[in-house]
Amino acid sequence: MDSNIRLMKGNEAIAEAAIRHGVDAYFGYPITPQSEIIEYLAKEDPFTKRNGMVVLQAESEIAAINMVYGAAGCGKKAMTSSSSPGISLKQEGVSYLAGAELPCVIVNVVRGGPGLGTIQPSQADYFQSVKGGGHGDYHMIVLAPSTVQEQYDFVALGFDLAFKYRTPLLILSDGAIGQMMEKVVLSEEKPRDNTVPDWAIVGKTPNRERNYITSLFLDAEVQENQNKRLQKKYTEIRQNEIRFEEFMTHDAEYLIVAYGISARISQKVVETARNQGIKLGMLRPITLWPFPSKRLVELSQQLQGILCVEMSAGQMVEDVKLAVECKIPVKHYGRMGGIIASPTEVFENFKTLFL
Amino acid sequence: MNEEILIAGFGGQGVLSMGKILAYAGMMQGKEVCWMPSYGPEMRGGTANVTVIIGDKTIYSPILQTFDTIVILNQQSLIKFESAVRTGGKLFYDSNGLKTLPTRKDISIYHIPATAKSAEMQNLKIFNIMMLGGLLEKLPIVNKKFIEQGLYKSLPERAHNMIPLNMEAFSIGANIVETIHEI
Amino acid sequence: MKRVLPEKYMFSYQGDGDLAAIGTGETIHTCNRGENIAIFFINNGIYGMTGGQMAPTTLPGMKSSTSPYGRNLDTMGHPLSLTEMIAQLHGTYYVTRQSVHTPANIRKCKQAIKKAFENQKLQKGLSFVEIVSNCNSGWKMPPVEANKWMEEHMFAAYPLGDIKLPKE
Ligand SMILES: Cc1ncc(C[n+]2csc(CCOP(=O)(O)OP(=O)(O)O)c2C)c(N)n1
Repeated sequence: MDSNIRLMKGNEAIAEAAIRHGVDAYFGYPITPQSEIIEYLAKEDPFTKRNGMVVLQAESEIAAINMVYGAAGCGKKAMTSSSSPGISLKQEGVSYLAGAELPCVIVNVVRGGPGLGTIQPSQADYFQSVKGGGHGDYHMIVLAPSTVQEQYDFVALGFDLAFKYRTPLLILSDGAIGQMMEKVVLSEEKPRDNTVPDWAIVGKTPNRERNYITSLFLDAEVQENQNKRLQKKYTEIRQNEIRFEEFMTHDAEYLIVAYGISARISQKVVETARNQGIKLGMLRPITLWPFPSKRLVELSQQLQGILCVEMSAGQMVEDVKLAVECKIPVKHYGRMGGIIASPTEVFENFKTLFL
Repeated sequence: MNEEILIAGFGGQGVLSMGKILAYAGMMQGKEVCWMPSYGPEMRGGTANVTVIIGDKTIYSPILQTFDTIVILNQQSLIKFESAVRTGGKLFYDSNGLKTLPTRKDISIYHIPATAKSAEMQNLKIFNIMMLGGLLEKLPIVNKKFIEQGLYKSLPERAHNMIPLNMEAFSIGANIVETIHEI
Repeated sequence: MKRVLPEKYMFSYQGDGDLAAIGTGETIHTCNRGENIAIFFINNGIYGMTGGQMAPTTLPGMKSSTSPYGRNLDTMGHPLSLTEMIAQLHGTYYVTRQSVHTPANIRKCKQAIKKAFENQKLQKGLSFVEIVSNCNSGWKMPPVEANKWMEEHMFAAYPLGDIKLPKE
């Protein structure tokens, strides 16, 4: 069998993708359910055994995100990963990265909260991810993988987008996808790319002005101009980078909107419904920010109702309601605290809510 | 068709690795596979279970409430999961440690006395692969030769000298599986 | 808690992953302020709860899930002995390192813990008791072997005994 086809945990796929994509540095701190990422990297030891990628276990999540800030400022491809409580700690750093327009990839393998919570999977970090978990007017591009293959693929896609727009990018995964194993088709290993972006700081360089990386603009007018620059960039991202997947929507009368592991569960719900002659379809946002609102509006013309399936008290459902301006009924179903609703449970609730 | 399987037992019984070998073998045979463990503190000593889905179709939900086939390795799992076998599905069990036996009439039931047999061979470590042998005898979703390849993939190199013994246990499992009731 | 409930006994129970890594800043400043509490620091040289990753206290060459080839001092830094560090601070009153692997050591450790609470009662300030411990699952050793390894290696790096005693 092709040695590039592997059975991998979602967490391992992220780690292998980082090495193969030529990421320059990973900084992390252990936390369940994503410690396999740093453990895999420690075992592979790419610094000495593969392509020289730096792997460092930091003393805390705050240290790790600030190391990312430093490496990203040098124009390097830097990434970090954590799970919910650790991601909360990183938020100041994320805001700084956004303010200083530094590209990087951050992975959140979400667990149940609030607080220390549980180590079981959850999707309750949606608001934090798409509404800006740190302070100030900023967005991160948010990619939501729903298969182990996508865990792998989104590392490369993530860095491409992060560098294209000079923005931090979040891969919003969850404990279930992180822990499950699926078949992954690996890409060829790329050497690390030594080209230095023209904005990076690399010490004194002849023949050019000194680069300056900061998120501090004491003069309010300068700050407002920076804000305008950021907003212009966000508009561009909204225009160009919305990604989603549709499943049996062509003739759908009802629609499930779900991402990540909930989308996998919902696919099964759609299949069950179709077997019973119910015209149910699914839209899976792949970018949670920017959100596929326009497509939802188009689809809503043919729909009698939308069910949002999320492992939270209902967060993305607000964006769905905003998108369709509540012109059709939009409901939410989800379990919390690390409990995953089964397809049977979702289907029963769909029927009670809509039929 | 995709076969949706649950293996449930104690943490130390090799439940997760049994699922892993099955998933590896399925992948080697070119099938779609998914392995979803129950993870968390319960893995240290308490009950452990794993969902394995193998088939030719894209795999949708790795989270399921009912299954085509369930392998039961302890009493708690029997109580919890006997009802989760879909009508017409299959239930495999090892009676060792069970106080009651499965009673459903609308599913096929098979007994694999793997604990007793592996104890007789003085090697309890081969218990799970023996279970797998019994399972695949009645549910031939992957070819035996891919199980062997799967073992090479899933076991660390230092354990590769154990593979012939494991394959023997696999064959024994296939021989000792008893049909209790078939529909 | 102590500032708002000064009449209550307060203690913290912390691991090396907590006190010597993510909580280093808070630990140092709590000690430096001389908060009238007791800190019990369980040093097992590893992150036990999360499945055996390297801690700041992990010994040179010691294997863990994030140092599978052994801790490399060049890339992963040196074992951090926070106990000796905080002993230098004016805010600490009593600093000691104990273990609980033999009945005699348990008795000694008990005395140290008692003293920490007595100090607190007398408003003396911060008492810090490190307890060097094993982690047989994290170290992947049977319990007896883990104790032996601890005696041979951990105690060499983290010697038992009082580090700072109250000036009478
Ligand atoms: C903000 C945050 N980051 C990471 C974790 C994950 N975590 C839980 S316990 C722990 C360290 C455990 O090590 P230690 O403090 O030495 O205690 P031990 O388990 O060894 O007794 C970590 C990193 C967490 N709970 N919160």
